[in-house]
Amino acid sequence: MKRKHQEICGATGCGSGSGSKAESSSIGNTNRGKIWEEDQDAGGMDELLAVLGYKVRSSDMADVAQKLEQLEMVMGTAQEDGISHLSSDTIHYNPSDLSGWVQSMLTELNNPATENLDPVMANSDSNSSILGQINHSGHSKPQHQQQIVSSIQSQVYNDDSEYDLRAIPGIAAYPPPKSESDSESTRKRMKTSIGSSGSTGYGSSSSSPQGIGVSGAVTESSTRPVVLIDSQETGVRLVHTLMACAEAVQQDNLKLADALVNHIGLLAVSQAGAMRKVATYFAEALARRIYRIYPQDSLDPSSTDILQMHFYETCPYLKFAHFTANQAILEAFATANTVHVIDFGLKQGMQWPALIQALALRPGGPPAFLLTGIGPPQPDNTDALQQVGRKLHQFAETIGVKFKFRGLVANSLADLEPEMLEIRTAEVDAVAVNSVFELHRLLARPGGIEKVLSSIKALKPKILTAVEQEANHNGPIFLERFTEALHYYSSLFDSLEGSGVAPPNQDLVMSELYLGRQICNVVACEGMDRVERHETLTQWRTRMETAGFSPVHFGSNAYNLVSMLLARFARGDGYRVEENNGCLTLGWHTRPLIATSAWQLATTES
Amino acid sequence: MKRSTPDSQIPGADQKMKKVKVESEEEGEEGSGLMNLDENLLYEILKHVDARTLAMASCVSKLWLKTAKDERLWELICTRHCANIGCGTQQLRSVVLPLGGFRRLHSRYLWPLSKPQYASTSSWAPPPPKIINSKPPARLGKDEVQLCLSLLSIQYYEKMNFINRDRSF
Repeated sequence: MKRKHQEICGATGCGSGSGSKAESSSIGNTNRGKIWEEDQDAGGMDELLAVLGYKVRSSDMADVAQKLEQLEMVMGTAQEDGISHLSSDTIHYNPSDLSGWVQSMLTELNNPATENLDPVMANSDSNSSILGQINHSGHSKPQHQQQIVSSIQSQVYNDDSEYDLRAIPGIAAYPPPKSESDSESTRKRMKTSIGSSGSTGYGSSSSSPQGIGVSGAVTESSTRPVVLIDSQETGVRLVHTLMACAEAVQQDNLKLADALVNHIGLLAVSQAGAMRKVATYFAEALARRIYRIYPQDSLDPSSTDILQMHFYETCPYLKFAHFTANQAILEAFATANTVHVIDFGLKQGMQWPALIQALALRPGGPPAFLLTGIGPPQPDNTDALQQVGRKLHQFAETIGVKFKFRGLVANSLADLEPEMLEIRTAEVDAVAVNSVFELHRLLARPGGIEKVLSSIKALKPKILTAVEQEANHNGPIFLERFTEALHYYSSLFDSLEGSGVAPPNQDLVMSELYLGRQICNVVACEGMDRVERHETLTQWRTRMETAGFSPVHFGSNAYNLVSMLLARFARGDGYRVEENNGCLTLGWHTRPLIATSAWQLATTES
Repeated sequence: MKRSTPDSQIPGADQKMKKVKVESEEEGEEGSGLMNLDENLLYEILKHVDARTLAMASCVSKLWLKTAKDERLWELICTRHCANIGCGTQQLRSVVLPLGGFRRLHSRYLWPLSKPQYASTSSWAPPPPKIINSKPPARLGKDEVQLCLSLLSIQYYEKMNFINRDRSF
């Protein structure tokens, strides 16, 4: 019985949307498995479906399942012809009577009505990932943007078929409910997109017995000409609405933006998995931007650390960063006897045990290891840096490496002077500077990055390792930033989703929250508050070279190391390690997401 | 009986054989054959088996478990299958033993890495099909070994978290 629940749950959108296939297979399974007969209650209704809000007699199950499959086939093939007429005439009074509905649908299909609506279903496509949907929107966007905006606008004003829209108070945009004819298409859409429709969260205030949450805005009004979107899935519409909203924000048309933001929330609910989460985070960020409720940027650093720890566990990005940077540092320290590493963002110090161990196993014995860890001030005055330092010290002691730690507290790296970073008391043979996702924050402050880079140069490091997000979220135009961020975080969330972690999982949720905060910062904040100013590898390269650094190329052993790491120990097979002019990038499928680069002082050959 | 170090095994072999005979006469009803082996002899035998056998040996009885868990045996297994990463034996021991030992290194990291590649190793995936392990696993290269050692260190460090949290600073 548990298994059946899981299947049904999978069908209602716990997993990444696999469209109608999940639905028909789950109902099919429920039908074909003999076990389900145990699930009948006294009234003869199938218990499991009753949970979902459908009343189907167990005896009818086989029949209903067959008819649903028939219906699905017809709808799939009839896509071009416009099966939208189905939504017109028949009035369904009892939405939970699944078999009755299916029957009437099938009879209608055999006697098509005359009215012409837009084709609604395209079930075969509902499997497409977010990227596919965004690319869809990417195509149609430039030419049709204005029309899309207006059609969405009018959709906004005409769309009334979700019961829960009525339940939302104060939305003047939504006129009082129309005839039943629109509600069928909702239900129809809902039925066939069981696989992709999402949680029950939003629909809880609805008046009708809908166990499954209402799918998002579905119908177009009957007189609207065919909308210029290629496919009708809510997903594509969702992306369009997001773009439209961002554009409205850019144009300072806050009223429209407000309406659209609410709409996004509804559309998002109908999606499953990564798309829903991304859309929700972006919608929240947009709402913050519109209403000027900026997030408290003085986020508790220890909670950010905790979130990052969960992110470390769920996906390989941070591990990739640490392994590649350590490899470069290890090679730079090949013959040194006393080494000094400056870590621009110590956090929990997860990067350093592996390096300490590698140094311990160096032929000839380990060097003395000095670590300077930099971190933000803690609100409760605890010395987080020292705690981490002690832990690392204990670790190093365990494996016989001489270790010394020094903590530097700073709100921003640009506050530090070069003298603070140096250790003058020790005879240091080699210095390495390491920054994981820290340098981009300096771009918020004018002159920040230049100051820090010149401080680094003053230390004469043997190597500087920098890991940064591979995206341009620092453009001057809001809409461009928004679009870039949407693509980027969609890929990231896709990769989290694809990591095969059984939902719901605390690590996963925390990782998503970690990314959600970044999204909020990119979209909602401006000026000094907007610290997530990611830039691409190419941009960083230019900056570094201008500042007087020359690249250090990663060897094949680093590449092999991370490839093995991903192949064996990371969950999910969509990750790709690529080499980019001597730097290494880790991405999800075709999209590079983070990049590690290594630099040394450019020597001028005289 | 205190186990003698590997170096002094051979001179003591005669004495051991006598002791085994005596014991088997005294405890004749305790079972037959292999169950009568004392620890040292068992150790000697297990020095020559492969990883899978060694692991299975620890499931036989308490005595066998105690013997098969010996770090030195697992060290032999690890070094047999891994390329030399350039450091001395003692150096390697001084790092691996405190971080969890060779047995853990092998079972958690070396062994999964040397298995032939199939579906992802998520914990709730259906159990992988049984591999007929006729050939010993391929020798792992330097990079693989270093990866495993790094992961071992990270895992040890992460576990340290809990210990530290209890202490008050």
